Amino acid sequence: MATFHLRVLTAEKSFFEGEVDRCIVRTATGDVGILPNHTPYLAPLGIGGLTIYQDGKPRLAAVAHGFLEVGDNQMTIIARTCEWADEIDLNRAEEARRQAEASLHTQASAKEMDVAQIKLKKAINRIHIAQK
Amino acid sequence: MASGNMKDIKRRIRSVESTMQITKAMELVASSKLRRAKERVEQARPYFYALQETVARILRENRLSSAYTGGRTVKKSLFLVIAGDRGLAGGYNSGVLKLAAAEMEGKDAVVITIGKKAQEYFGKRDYTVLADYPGVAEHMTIADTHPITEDLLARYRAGEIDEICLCYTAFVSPMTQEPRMVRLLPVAPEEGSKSEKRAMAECDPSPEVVLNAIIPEYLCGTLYGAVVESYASEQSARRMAMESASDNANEMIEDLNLSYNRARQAAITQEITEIVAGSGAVGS
Repeated sequence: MATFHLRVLTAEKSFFEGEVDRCIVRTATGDVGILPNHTPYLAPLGIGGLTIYQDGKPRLAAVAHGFLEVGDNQMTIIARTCEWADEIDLNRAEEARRQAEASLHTQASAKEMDVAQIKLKKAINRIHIAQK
Repeated sequence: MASGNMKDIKRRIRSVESTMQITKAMELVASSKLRRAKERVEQARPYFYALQETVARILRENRLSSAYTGGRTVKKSLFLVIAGDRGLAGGYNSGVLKLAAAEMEGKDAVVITIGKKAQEYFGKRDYTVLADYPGVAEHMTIADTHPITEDLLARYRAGEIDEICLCYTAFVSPMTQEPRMVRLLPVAPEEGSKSEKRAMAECDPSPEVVLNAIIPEYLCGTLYGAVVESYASEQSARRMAMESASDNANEMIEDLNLSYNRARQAAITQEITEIVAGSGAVGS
């Protein structure tokens, strides 16, 4: 079966590197699936899931922000944050959600509201992915 | 008189010894911090390089244009200068600050500083410091760069500044660090190497949206990489400076010990001469 080279990088570490069969990732406009020999493609990432199919087996991770680039049968995902589903600390995610919700209820400036909203989305996404 | 001289030498030896203790301790602290900083550099580098490579390729292969790709004349420049929070690091601080000051010459420049030393330097002189971030380098995470870059981008979009330059110290090896300057904005496609041009990438949803999403990411990543590199450079510069200070102190102690022994011997010889002369005078 055809494969392509995938790299997932975050500032803290090189998160994943290897040959994969298929990859589904959340972009700003929705989920996209990338198969081998995809046409050159660029998109910003949204907040959602990243599923990597390696040797037929899927592995799920939570991503938020960044962008992806496809070309020459290789794909690079540069993410702000990325975590494997089984490594997400559910308690911490719940805590982050509570905090974000609390700051949404306070009368803050528009900018702070935006920040809190994004934090809430990220926390919900992580909880969602971890429970899948 | 001789014993006074000996006392002086003893006192100097003691003072050099206590200085050496400090430099030794600083050397040890710096080398353990350096180890951690080096690890961080090594982990951040793949991201840093991929980010730069990807952005450069995207700009080269796709004729994208947005507010970030320039086109307006540069009137006001903003310099982000990264230096240490503490001194005693050899030429680390002065190297990067000198480079920044030289680059700013002849430009209408404003400064944002990271690190206390940079803030002190530019605050004392005739520069406008827009913001300063002291004491962040050691525990910097990528999340800490977001507010900084958001502030930068807002100013850039508002037309307050037309150019953003970053001065930092590249960590080449534990023995060499190199002050460098890079221009962050406007991003310009590199010229040349057009032969390897591939088909234009499909952009989802549109090239402008993609570029506008990538640029903040690029700035955050570059800033984070620069801070991490600078911090590692600072620690290795300090380690080297302290190592040579300890070596010098050792040498000084050796020299002083030698003159102390000489003074001691001279005092003894003189005493013997005095006693012999005295007994001769009594005996005769």
